[in-house]
Amino acid sequence: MAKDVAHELLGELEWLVLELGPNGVWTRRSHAPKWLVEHRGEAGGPGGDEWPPFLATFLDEAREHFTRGVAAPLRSLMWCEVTPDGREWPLQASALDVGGRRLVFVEWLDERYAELRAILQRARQTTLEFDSLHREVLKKEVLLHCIVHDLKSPLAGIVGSLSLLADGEQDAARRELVAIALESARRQEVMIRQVLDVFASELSTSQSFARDPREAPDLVESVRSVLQAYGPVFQRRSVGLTSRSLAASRAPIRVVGRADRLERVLANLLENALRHSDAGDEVELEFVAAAQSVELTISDRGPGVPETIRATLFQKFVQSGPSRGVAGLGLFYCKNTLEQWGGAIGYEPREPKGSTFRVALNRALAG
Amino acid sequence: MTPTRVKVCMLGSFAVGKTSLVQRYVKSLFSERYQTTIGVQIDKKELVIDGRPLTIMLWDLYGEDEFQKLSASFLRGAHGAFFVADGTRAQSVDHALELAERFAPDLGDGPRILLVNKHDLAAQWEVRDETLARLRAKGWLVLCTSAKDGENVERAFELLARAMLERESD
Repeated sequence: MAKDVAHELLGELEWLVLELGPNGVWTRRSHAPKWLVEHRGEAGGPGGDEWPPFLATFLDEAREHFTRGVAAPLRSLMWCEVTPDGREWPLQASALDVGGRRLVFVEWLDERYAELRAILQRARQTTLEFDSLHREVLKKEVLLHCIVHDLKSPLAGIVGSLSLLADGEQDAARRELVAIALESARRQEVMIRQVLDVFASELSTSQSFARDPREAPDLVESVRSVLQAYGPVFQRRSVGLTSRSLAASRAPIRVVGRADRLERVLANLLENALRHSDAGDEVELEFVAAAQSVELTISDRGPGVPETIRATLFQKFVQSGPSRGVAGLGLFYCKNTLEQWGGAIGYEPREPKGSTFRVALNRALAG
Repeated sequence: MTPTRVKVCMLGSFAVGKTSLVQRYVKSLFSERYQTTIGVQIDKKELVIDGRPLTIMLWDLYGEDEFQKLSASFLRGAHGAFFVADGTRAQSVDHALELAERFAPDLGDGPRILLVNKHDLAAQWEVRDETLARLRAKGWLVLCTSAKDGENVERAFELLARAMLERESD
């Protein structure tokens, strides 16, 4: 009775049960499911080449599995039989030893297969759409980069000509106009450079910086170089620029990164500090090296960052205070670049007024 | 004459057009709708090459990605293989080559062809001619195909079929 029920049940479920006999021949122990009937006709002889190709391959694997005497069942991946009427039959086979009987069950997966396919379909379509969008964005960014780059070339000529004019003899009114034009052109140069820097940092790969101390930048050298470059600019604005750490440094401090970009990060932070400082203020650049990392701070006595924009300060196009002709990309560049190197940047207000930007860098260590 | 029966596997990333190539070849059909393959789907094509009947069993294997990894057991007994890439996704060529390398021991010295599909979208191609030239120079038989308009599809299967028959005759 139980045997009849099992037989009927397997038939209803469109399952196939095969048994491997001592003579090495597979014998069907269930009704022939519809997909098999379509494949080989109701009568269906014993196995061999007449099994559908995937099943034939699995039966060979099952035979080996039984020969090896592995206790755990062997499970096939899913496959799909397509009957001549175009119907798909998703199937999965398992080989297991049941009380010494070497059996293969072939399950008809039906709804489970449909569900899995729907999930995978959606996941893959999303991946394809994401890739396509990413490529589109990349193309547009490259185009924009070309445009911005082209804008830079004539600007160099304008700045050069204005500089020559500024050096020449002229009355006070003209001198003032030339100075304004020159200042505007230089601001525009800075904005274009920031845009190009951001492009470069976003398109760069993780391979474009050094972890090896033999190639990694020396923070001390980078700080010295940037302070030398910006010293005269600060002096012209009567803003002090000091670094006690640099004065006390006796040995290189190798950090994960790239020298030119590290100097650009420091330059952006110094430019930022200078922009918000008044004559007579002082900007301090200090750093402290620990075993694994280095912390660097740049502090000013400017008005500080308004509380309303602190949360978004490091995003693109965010400007603190009056824009003063900046693109709002400098801090974004710093964050993006430092995070690529495993570092970080943060902001904190100073009392009674002012800002401190805190940069964390990883030390480039041997091994 | 009893037809020679051969097993041919289609391998490549997901959505490169493996199923579409098989459908184009076996049923002369093409659908714009992408339908992902799970596991394997097997189709049969009978043809005659120089008077010799041949039955090709086409094992259209699911595209490998982070969700499904290919198993070597599918390749057991294969006589030849197509490695399929999508010309609009340069990465899919790298992946096809990586699969070719990974499954080289399972495929033995059976013939293989690299199909760079979706040639009907040539304007959107990321795969450069120099890349294909470099692969040809390395010994790969590379064909640019289009399951959509049928470009090089018959030719690809015929070339592989001939190569398999030649190998059988040796």
